[in-house]
Amino acid sequence: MTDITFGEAKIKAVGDLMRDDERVIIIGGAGFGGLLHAKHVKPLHDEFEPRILRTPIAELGFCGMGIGAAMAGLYPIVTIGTGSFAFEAWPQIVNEAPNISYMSGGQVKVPIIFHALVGIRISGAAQHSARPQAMLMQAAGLQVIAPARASDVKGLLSAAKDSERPTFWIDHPLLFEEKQPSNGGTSLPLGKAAVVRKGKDVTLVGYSIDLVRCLEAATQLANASIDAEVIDLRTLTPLDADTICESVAKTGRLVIADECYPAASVASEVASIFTDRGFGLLKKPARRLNFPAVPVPLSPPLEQHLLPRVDKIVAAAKELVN
Amino acid sequence: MIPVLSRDDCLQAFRKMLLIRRFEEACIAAAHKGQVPGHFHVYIGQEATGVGVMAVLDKGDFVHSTHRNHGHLLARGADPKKAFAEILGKATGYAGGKAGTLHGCAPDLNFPLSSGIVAGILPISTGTAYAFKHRQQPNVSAVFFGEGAMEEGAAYEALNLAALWKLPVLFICENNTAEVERTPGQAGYHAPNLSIFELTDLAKSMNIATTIVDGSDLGAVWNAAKTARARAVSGGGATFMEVRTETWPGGQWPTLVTGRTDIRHAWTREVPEKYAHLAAWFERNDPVLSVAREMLAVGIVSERDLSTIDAAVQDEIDQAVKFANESPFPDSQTALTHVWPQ
Repeated sequence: MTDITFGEAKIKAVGDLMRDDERVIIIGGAGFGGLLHAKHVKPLHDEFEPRILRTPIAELGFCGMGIGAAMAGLYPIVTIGTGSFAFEAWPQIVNEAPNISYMSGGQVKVPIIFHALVGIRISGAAQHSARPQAMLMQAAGLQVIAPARASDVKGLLSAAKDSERPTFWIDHPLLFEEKQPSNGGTSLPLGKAAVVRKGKDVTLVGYSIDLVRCLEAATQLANASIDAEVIDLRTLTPLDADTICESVAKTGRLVIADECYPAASVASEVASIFTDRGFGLLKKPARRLNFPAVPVPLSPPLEQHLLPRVDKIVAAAKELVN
Repeated sequence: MIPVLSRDDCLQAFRKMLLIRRFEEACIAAAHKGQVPGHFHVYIGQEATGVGVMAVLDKGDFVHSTHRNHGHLLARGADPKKAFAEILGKATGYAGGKAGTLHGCAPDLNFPLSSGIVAGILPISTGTAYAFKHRQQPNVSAVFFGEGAMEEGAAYEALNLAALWKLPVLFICENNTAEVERTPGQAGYHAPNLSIFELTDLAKSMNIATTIVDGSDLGAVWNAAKTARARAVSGGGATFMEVRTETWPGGQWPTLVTGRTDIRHAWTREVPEKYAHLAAWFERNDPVLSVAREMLAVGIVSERDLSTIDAAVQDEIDQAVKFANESPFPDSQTALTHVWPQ
């Protein structure tokens, strides 16, 4: 097993999808890695040039175009760029694509992936740092995936494609360089979280970049003799309550890290599991670590102050355990 | 003008136009009985547009529409029974009652879900067109929308994408506000809402072929659509067709502003007292009566033929209404199905 960056794994996964099925096309000039990683994306673009549509800065137009292309039998991967730009295409992403299967009585399918580099990318400031995933969870009929590990990205993309569901891929700009052992490839079940690290004292739940933070926190907690179990949600819609409940049944303690704002967030959705089906499993109150409800500031110390940082996860877990 | 069309083409088109007219009249009648859930948008006065364009389309072409889709569905050949049942929210409708009037669809006719957002469907139509181009398939996507769509940014983006890549799209802008007075030299087609003087100006500025057509003239619509389709399949790119109709009778929902159409108006020209103020519309702009008159003038049909066609069409609509009324509402359990493709 060789180490591979998450970014390399995802470029390979997209390339595999395109090699396996000529219906797969890419719409959007943004690519998968932002400017810093353009050199990694270039081989993909070179190999599949005729199947890549470099679009104008017209997210609304080209996301709609992707929907039409999907209706007509292609499989578009639409690269929106920064997560904040999804708002420019919001009417097509949340008010067209997710309704079409349902409202046509299942007769019209929109097999498509919208991809964006979502989240706090460090000094992106308020208009290039959005985390639209919790809002996207309010779009009934839209699947939301968030692969965080090199070993999962191919499996989740393949499963999303096979499902023929309109899917939003929550990617994160800071995941690209994460080095991980790769053993991925097979299709993974959608709506199945992964227990990434076994533990018995406290459950840490994360996804995307917050999974990386939870894993680092777990390492630090181990040094303090706290045995943390770490769960990667992997898909936000559908959300896997079973795996989380099984873990909390064992640990009785829960910390959730989530870059979203606190209200109606991924973290609040996970916590809400313990007001009904998971009722009684917690020995201590759940701790939700979100980005406080302020626009994202540019200045690094301000931004760092607000992030669900590793040290905050560690402190929250210690409070719960001790 | 119709003489450019064959007798059969003409008769078929007229029958479809009348079918749409009777269908919409039935919708309004059902609304008055409280049977139509939600609000709806009728196609009365615009029948020549949908029928004229659809006549030149191929089965493999895509058709996209908006909230005002009843006429487009029927013109494309949709079953009036399933279409009416859908509008009433019945289980036997095209989408099992989930779409209703705003989101009409007939997927078996390459007529996917309509969008209820005025310009929402334009970007989607560029996507189906792109798929044709990508596969080098000689087909086009026809997208129908109102002039109001031109007020939304999605329309601009879609036109730009279609122009950049010479996509095979027929943009059919149905302008049913043509009676709005315009002052030459001043900005504003529909003065309060748009700063362009002509609706075609935006497309022209992007080097998209444009044409302005009289929406009461079936032959003119037909020819313009034929030219546009030929241009699209030969790699010449999109066409923006503005189709103008006067004194829009669909405007005062759910009132049948122009009354129930009496096909005999075509030759008696007797306008009931109640509709005297619309005499000019009946004479010049009602596309159904116009085609009937033209066919009479060139001897394609007799007055009696027209009455016979009308009776058959009315019977077909009565059957559709009966079918829809007698159909059950969907089982409440189906509220949870089809969120995801199966």
